[in-house]
Amino acid sequence: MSLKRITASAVCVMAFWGVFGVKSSFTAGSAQMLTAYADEYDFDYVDEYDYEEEPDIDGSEIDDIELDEIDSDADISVNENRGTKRKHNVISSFVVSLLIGLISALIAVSIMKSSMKSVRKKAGAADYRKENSFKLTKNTDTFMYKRVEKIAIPKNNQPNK
Amino acid sequence: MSEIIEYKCPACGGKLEFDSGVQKMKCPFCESEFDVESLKDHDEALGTQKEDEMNWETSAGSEWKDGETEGMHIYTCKSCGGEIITDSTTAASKCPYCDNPVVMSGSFSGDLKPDYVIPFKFDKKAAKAALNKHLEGRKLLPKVFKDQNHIDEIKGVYVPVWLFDADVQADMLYKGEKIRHWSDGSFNYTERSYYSVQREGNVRFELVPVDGSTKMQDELMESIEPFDFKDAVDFQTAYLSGYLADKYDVSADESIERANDRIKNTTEQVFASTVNGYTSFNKETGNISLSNGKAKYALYPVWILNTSWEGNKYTFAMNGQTGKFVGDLPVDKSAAAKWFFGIAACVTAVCFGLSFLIF
Repeated sequence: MSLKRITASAVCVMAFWGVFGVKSSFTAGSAQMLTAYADEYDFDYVDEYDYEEEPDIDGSEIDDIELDEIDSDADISVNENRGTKRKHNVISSFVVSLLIGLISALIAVSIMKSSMKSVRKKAGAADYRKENSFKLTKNTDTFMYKRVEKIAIPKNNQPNK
Repeated sequence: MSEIIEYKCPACGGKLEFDSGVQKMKCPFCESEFDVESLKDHDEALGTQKEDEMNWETSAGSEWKDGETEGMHIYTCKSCGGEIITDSTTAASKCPYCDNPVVMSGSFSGDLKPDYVIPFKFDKKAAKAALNKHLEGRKLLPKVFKDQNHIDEIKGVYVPVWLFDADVQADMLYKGEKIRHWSDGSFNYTERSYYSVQREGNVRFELVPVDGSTKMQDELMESIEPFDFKDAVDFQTAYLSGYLADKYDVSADESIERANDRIKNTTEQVFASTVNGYTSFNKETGNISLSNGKAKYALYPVWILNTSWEGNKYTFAMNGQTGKFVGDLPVDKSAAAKWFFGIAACVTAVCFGLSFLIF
């Protein structure tokens, strides 16, 4: 694949994701105006649903909901913060992606450059050692001394509540 | 009167004393304890260490017989001073080392006659094919290197080499360390045990080549090794036909140091490979000596091509016997920059896209 094609493909993909990212941010922002958030409600734990009995949806469940608990002027600033936080992530994602891209490119080009070198001095003469000519006349391992270090394991002294 | 021997502590170098309580030699400084016999052996091993002895007999080559050099010509390069020998049927026009014109300066005479020659096994066609293969797929290579006209100038040269044989005796002393870890509820323990490791033995080396020409880079010649001596024959001038031969200008005595370095390095590696079972070890002392060291003079076949680019000279070489091809290639900086930014853009795009899927 030629270099021009690779670059063109990369630019297209980046443009696509860039547009997608902006669209997603916009969609998230508009969606929050239409979505009700349940943060202001306290729900009681309900037992496992009994499928044998037909549920009475006209009955008590609706009665249990006290209308004055629904605060129409609920504070949605937390939700706005969520939208702001999402925009910030796009920028940091791009920066991180760029860093990864630069490091990957550096590694790839370094590998290409190193493959251009093939002239190396030989350190030894292993190719010219006569086969089966190596003989050990003395082979001794003698114990000299030993040392033992001990380090105390720190203990957690906090008392249990 | 008996001789008083003082022992030094192998751990800290302090003076050891005999501890009657444990019946061992003990260091008052680091409190390490040593068995008397082990200490004596270790001290003896340290005491018998000598300097390396690498002696060679360097009378190699022979005298030319009457009529053998008839028809052989010498060509001299005015640029680098190289002297090339050919037979009467071969003409040289360019120096294989610097690519400048050469002039015939006379008939060949004098000098040593080589003992052996390894004839060329790969012809010029094979050499050019190997060069093209070496250049293939190199994305950072400048286009001028693939110019076919220049590749045609590849030359077959017999390079003079000195071949060294020797029996090597080595006496090495290492300090080995074994580490053991364990723990009880209260403490982490680390036990370090130290051993005196002695290795003595022999090994033989044959036909270690050292390049005998200053014009041929040693690194280049060593990069195309090994040469297989099984194909070597007694030298005859007929083998020069169609090829060039370089005259030696580095004597056997001058080549000895390189042979010593290579033999010594391999000997140390071979002996170190016998030290097993330790967490780590290091060499304390070592002595390497040579015996029956002999040198021979031979011609080895090499295909050579020189190319210049941006004021730098690049030399390629192929082993004329095995076909191994080497040569450092220049890097086209603009191509490198294009690949760098292309790859960076691609990877950035992929990672950026993935970040939307993940988060």
